[in-house]
Amino acid sequence: MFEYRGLLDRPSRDALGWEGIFRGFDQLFREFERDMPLASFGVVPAEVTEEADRFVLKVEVPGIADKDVHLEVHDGVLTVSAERPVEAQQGYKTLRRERSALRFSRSYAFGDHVDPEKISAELKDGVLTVGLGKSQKVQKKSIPVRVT
Amino acid sequence: MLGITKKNQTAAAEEARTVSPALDVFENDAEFLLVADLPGVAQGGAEVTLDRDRLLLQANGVHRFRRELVVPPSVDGEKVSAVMKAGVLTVRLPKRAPYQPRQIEVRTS
Repeated sequence: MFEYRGLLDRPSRDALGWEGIFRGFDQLFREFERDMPLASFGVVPAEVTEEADRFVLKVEVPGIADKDVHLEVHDGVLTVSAERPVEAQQGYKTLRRERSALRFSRSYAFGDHVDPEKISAELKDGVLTVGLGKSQKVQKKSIPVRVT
Repeated sequence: MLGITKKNQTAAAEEARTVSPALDVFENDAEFLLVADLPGVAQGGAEVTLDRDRLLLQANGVHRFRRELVVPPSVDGEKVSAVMKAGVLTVRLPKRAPYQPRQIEVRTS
């Protein structure tokens, strides 16, 4: 016996007609096509890229507060930790939960490739960006060509 | 050093990908609450459209985000509101009055 859910309900795409099984929230916010980002599976996306004069670490932590981010540089090692707990919604029933608590803690050994004086960090729109300026040693130098 | 990508390759790969953002859905007597993770999306950068029973979330941040949902008929489309902060989008969908449970007083006689 299928549940009546209202005028605007559309039949399930499933040819076997298993619509009755997917009751409740799955049908309530039914949707089309999903390709979910890593963060949905508890993996905090983090990436280090290299630019001409610095390395950049980007960590995706939407909803994180300043106090939940910690950065430490010691002996050529950068340690980053960030935590975004998932707030329980008081007074609401949970119909769907895809956002998991994010816990990120990683150490990057940059040795003498990075100048400790040139480290910056910014938390903006849920993305933590850490800039690590390259040390003189690894900076590519443009050698001026003298014309005589 | 291992594990470091050159910026150009990454940028091209990121821009090509449309991703469905992680979403939490909550409900109480008065409304539905949607909370979506949209890392890298600025406060004015999310687009929320309600067209009859379809709610469309679109934004460009770390990825091109897109997610479309069917919204129940109990939702009052006129009262839907959304807030974007620190890469998190919160959408409130209040229910129409008849759909909010209420106690009917049973009078004697």
